[in-house]
Amino acid sequence: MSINDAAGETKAMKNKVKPNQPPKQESTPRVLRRYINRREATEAAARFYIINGRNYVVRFSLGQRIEHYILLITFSLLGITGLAQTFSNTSIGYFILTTLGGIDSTRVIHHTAAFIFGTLAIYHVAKFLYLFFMGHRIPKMLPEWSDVEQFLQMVKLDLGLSSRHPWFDRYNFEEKVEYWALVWGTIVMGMTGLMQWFPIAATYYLPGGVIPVARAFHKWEAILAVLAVLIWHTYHSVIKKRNTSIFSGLMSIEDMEEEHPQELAYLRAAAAVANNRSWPVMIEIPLEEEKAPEPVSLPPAEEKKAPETANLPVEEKKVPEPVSPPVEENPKDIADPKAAGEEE
Amino acid sequence: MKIPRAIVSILVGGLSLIVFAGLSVAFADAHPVLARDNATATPVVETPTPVVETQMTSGSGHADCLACHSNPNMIGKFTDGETVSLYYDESKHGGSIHAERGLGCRACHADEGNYPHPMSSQNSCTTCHSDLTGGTTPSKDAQFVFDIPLENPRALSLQLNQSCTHCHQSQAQETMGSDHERIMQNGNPYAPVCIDCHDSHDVTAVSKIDVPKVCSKCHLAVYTAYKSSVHGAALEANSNPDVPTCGNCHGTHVVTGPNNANFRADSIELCGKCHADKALMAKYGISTDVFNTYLNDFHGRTVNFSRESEMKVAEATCYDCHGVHNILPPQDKDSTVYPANLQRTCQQCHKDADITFPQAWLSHKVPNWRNAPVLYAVNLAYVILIPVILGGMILYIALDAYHRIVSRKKNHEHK
Repeated sequence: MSINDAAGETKAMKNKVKPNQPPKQESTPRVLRRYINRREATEAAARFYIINGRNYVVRFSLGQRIEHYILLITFSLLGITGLAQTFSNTSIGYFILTTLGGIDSTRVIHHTAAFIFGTLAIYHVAKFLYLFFMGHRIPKMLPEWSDVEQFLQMVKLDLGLSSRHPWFDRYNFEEKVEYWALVWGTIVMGMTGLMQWFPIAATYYLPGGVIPVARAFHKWEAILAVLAVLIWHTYHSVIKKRNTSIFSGLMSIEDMEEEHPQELAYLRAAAAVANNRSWPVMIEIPLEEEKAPEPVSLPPAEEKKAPETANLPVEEKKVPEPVSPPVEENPKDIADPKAAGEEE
Repeated sequence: MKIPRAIVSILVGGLSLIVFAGLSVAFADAHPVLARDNATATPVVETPTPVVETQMTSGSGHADCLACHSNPNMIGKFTDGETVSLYYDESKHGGSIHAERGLGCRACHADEGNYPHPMSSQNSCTTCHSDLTGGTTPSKDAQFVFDIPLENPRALSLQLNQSCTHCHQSQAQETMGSDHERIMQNGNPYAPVCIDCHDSHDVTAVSKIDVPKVCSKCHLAVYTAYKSSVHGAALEANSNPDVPTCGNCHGTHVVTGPNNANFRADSIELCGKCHADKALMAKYGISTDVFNTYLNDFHGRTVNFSRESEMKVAEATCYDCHGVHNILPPQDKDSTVYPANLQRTCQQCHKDADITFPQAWLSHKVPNWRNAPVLYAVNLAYVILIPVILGGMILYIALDAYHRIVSRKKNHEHK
């Protein structure tokens, strides 16, 4: 949400527009005007799915989901095998270590998981760089000022001082906190872990005193990271509302309207012009709660029709596997941060 | 959509199960560090086994034996030609603990104690006193050589050693598991038996201070190293009973060497027994942090875990760095842990260790502002940051959850 003016908030607060109702206000609806090219439009169109008569939006690509699966497994393994070593003098630590065949084999597991984790991190950064510089995607996971505003808005809402729900884009501040905590954790744990894994190599370049410091960092950061995931991530993705989009890749339109309305607005605006003939084309993306008239209203009867010629920018598929999108499907946003953004 | 939801349920359910199971187990009991009993313990002062009243005791026949064996010219000859004096000098041996308690010759020399001696070939009075049967009276200095039907003195010693077990059963039992016994079983008759350490006619309870000298009869090189160590020097100079002697580490009757499976792992407890003893260490101004700082570090944690789970210990134990018998205080220039020698000490295992590598070890110090400011700051920062960050998260979540519950109730009421 590059341009998410704070000025718009007051307006929206005055006229409490319900979704799907045409905005009735004195001023013109606030919109973001932006040129998009054909690729962005077709990609946006390709993200609408109908399965069994229900409308979905592709939220995560297969690659991102695989990233998250790998992250989920390696993070859990690292947490379990690592904390078991830190707390080896407790019963549970002792139990885990003996179950895994001793402290040495536990370390083998820990190192293997760490290697996969590190490879994943490198892949993730490489993918980001590629998509950013070669694909000209707009990164969506970067912290912005609007996140702070939305956080305050959320606090106000929770305190009952306001009744307006923040208008989240592809990633809300909760997800960004999770993601950047993971980035910070990966850097700290990666560096300090390597120092402990290869202490002799490390002390070739650094004073020996860094090893105990690395040890301390590694231990504390692990405790922080595991607890943060258990508390923050579990609450937001499982307890608050079970969000399975990272596993299935799909999010229903209703959920999108509730949780990522800004992204949905963009997708609809972009998909609406997918069949345009001249490029680039300017689209108007509604901001805040003022919704554009729905460009995508999909009569279920149209299922199975080839969407190529249709004006509706909808592709209908039976299978939930979003394999078909040619590139990484997320249109204007960087594919990179989301898979990892879930775990810490 | 259904399958992923199932996966999530399983994952979340499993995770919480693990956490709760873990917590419940963890709170059930925590592993004390020094839980396990150690086989190689300090020498136990045995209360003497009550002497069985037999015909062997109370000097019965003692004087009878000396009727012959007070003659310094009696010589026993073994089948391999080796000879041994059969003379018993009561003035010399009167101080033995057996003599004090009134045990006579036959207490140990049970079978041979009968007369005529069943084993030896010459067993009649006239062998010596030939004049009684009409022969010439033997001169005063005449030597009498008696054949002993055993190969050599060692064979006799081993045979006589059996008689110790009549009274000292528990000690004899202990030696059964010892490395000395194992060597004996492997066919070396010179492996030490009771009388090698306790002596035969001069039999004594070896006091702690004398233990190294007794062991040095065979382990001379070890004794030399020990003598110059911080422990050995204190023992030699002041007969200080606080220092460990051979038996404290290797056991007394259950003698175990470093090749024993558990010796290496249990050695940390051996050292810790004294070096974690605040009262004892305070006498010498030695920090008791050494043990805990070791256990909190990489080596110690691994070794301690492997010890508890009876797995092989590969990581460094106390004596890998400090030396075994030649332990010196770290201020000593010859000490393996003297700063200038540390790199070489580390290189025993970490072959390519650089000169900066030993600094990775905090010398058993508990980090504080002075000795490790960065480490202390990191620890402090996290101790503050973790509650703050997690507290903030929990606060926000609590707020959000409360709001959701309240608004959900409202919605229900409206409907």
